[in-house]
Amino acid sequence: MTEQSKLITAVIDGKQVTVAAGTMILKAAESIGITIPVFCYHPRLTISGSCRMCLVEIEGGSKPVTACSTELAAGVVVYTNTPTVLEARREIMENLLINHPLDCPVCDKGGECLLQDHAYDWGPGASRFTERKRLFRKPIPLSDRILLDRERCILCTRCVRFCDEISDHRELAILEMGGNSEIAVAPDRAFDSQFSGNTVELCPVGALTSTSFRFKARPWEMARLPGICPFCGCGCSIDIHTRSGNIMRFMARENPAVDDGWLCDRGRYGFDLSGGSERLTKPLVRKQGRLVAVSWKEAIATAVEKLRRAVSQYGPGAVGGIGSAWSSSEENDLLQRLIRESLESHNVDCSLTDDGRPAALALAEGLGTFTFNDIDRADSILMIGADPSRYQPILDLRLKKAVITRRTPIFTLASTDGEMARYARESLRYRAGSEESLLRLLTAAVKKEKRYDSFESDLRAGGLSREAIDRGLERAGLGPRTVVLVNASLLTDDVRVYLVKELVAAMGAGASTGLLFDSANGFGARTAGAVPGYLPGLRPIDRGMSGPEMVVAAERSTLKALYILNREHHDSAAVARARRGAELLICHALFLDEASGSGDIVFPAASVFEKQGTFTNTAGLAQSTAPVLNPPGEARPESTVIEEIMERLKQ
Amino acid sequence: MSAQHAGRAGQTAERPERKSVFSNDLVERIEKATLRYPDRKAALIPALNMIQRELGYLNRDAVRFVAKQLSIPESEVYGTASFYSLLGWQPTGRHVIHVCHNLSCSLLGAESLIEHLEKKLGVGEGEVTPDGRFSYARIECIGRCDGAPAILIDDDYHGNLTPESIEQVLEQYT
Ligand code: SF4
Ligand code: FES
Ligand code: FES
Repeated sequence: MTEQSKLITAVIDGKQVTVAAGTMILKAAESIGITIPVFCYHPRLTISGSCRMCLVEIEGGSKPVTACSTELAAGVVVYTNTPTVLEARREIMENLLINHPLDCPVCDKGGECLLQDHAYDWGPGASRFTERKRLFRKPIPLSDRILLDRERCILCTRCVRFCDEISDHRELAILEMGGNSEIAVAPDRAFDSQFSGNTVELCPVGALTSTSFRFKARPWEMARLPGICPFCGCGCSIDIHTRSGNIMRFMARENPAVDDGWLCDRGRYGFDLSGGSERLTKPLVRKQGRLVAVSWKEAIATAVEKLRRAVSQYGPGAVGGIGSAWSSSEENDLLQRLIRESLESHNVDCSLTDDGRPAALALAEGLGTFTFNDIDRADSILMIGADPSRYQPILDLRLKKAVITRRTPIFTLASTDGEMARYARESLRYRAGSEESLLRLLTAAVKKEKRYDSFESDLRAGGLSREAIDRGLERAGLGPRTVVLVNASLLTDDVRVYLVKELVAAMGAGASTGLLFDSANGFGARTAGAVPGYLPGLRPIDRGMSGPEMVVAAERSTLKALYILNREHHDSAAVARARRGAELLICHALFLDEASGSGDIVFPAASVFEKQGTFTNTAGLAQSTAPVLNPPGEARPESTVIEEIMERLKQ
Repeated sequence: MSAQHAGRAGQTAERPERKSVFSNDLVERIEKATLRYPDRKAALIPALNMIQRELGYLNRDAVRFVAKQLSIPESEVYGTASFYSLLGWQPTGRHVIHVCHNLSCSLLGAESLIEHLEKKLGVGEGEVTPDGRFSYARIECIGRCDGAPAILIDDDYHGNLTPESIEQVLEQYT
């Protein structure tokens, strides 16, 4: 039994408490429902013990101690509400408020500010300070996204600790000393971490604010609904704050299985999907060459009639459907049912530019089993072509946590520069395109096979050698709980899938594999069957054309009708190519742009915030979201439209 | 002297990175300083001090240079450097006068000393005399309370000063 798991008993405010030895008084008190006020303490940061707000008394002790940084000792008697403690709190509050501008009426934090709350609960109510408060130009931008009002800062260093310990980007520091101290970035540098928004949430006062939310709303005016961030394959938990039908901001909602309570700035500040454009609010149908607004009834009737005609005239093989790795599993499922069941075609995929099948094969072959928590326990981590810092940012934080807190060895192999290479024991570069050789060589190295094959010369040409790989494997020390992270977009054909499978098998039974998708539902679109050759649940079925094949066929007019879900997430050039030869192009779109405007029937879609749906993150975790807004005008969730078309096609 | 003068994000446009203005000799001395400690990082203050002595003050380039040489985040170099009042961010005179204005010295007349000094030099805090000879700044306790009011000129202490005696002291510095 370790020292940590030994239990001790003590008394806090007359209540008996039993906790693991080493537990701080603050946490012990919390466990029996006693709240001690804090400023600098934050459960997900290291303890700083600098603000003194958490002072408590221990019977027989000479002076009050900080509850956040003092371990509860066996048998002690702690008081959190003696006159001495209350007096200490009053003094701390009086001191903090000396320089604070008390500009709560124009402060974004007003209503959710620890300083306000503690002043209300514990403050002296009056100030004896009659001298000049310190003044600063306000606010100063630390970056395009983050503003700092220095006179509001209480120097708790939560923001600095976040940058030092969690993002490890280390942009913030305390300048000067004593009463002149202030938070700053280095000269002529910006706070441009992709995790900077977390400091706004961590700041207990209104010192750090975001440009996107500043002066936009008061916290109490907003409705808060739980959601899932739709901007990458991680699927972080968020609270969506809305006011009068508008999203005002995203806040983190802690989910230990995904985000540890953090968000990246792409997610946090990405909620404005409009990019300034007007949403489509009415169905459009092409008449005499021009798109005109029509009723839903007419639009659906036209779609049904034209799809039916395309099938009867050219056969089901001339019809195809494109789901989306950014649409919900339900929508992808309906899309593939429309194509496979109603129109009896096999041409289904989830992208116009990539074949979605190989990654589905990989999932069917049992790859893609890892969870984010596997990273916390991993013996070592092997990353192939993966760049989570760019494409799955929250995973970047999880990997850093493993390296910083557990010294987990990482071995990265990539064709481009990535931040994780700096955390790796060994990082090697390979030439893009030589992935197949790389996988073969890796497997040979893991199996300690001594063979020199043609693939090796391929790699040597790219600057990689067996010796380098052996060294990397040696340094990373592959073990039974190694996690292999593979960029899903490297899986461009079946051969690569089987090579990854062989590699993982060579590592032993405990290894887990993650396929890193950069899209919100790359995993779920596949398990929902929006790929060639797989039904929902990855049950095999006849393979039709892939997305890229459909584009070519449409361009040559061998594919006559194309049905596209989620236009905004598909490559415009590919849509344009398909348009050239296709007789019928139907799409669901949020906006009217060149691509959607080239359609014959355009359904005004509901954004991800306006409908229900399930998204499976890159670690296979399925999470459902509920609508937080109403679609504008007559825009409708795609699923209801597809369902209606399917229903009508039956008649 | 405030560290704010060193510029700040969003305020000063990024200028193109210049070639290091720091001499090879300085680089060597900093490198040598790192050997004195088990951890390179520990040479931070010696390095800042060397640059301050060579350049007379610190600036953005100094922060970046030291950060790079010692593999320390720039923010940390900046934060540490700004902590010390003997490290500055503005050009100084050939000789720097630091006048203590903390408790003991204040009680024994630091303010009138400062007043006299400003009149005599014809400059305010942080400014350089027209002949480039002096600049002065206030400083907190320099540990010479026994000789209050006390000042520091470059590395030398001078105590028990009066407006008259300070003039004689100044004459020693050309
Ligand atoms: S800016 Fe906010 S989080 Fe940072 S030290 Fe000041 S009060 Fe604390
Ligand atoms: S919360 Fe304990 S010292 Fe700040
Ligand atoms: S107060 Fe001036 S030297 Fe101590």
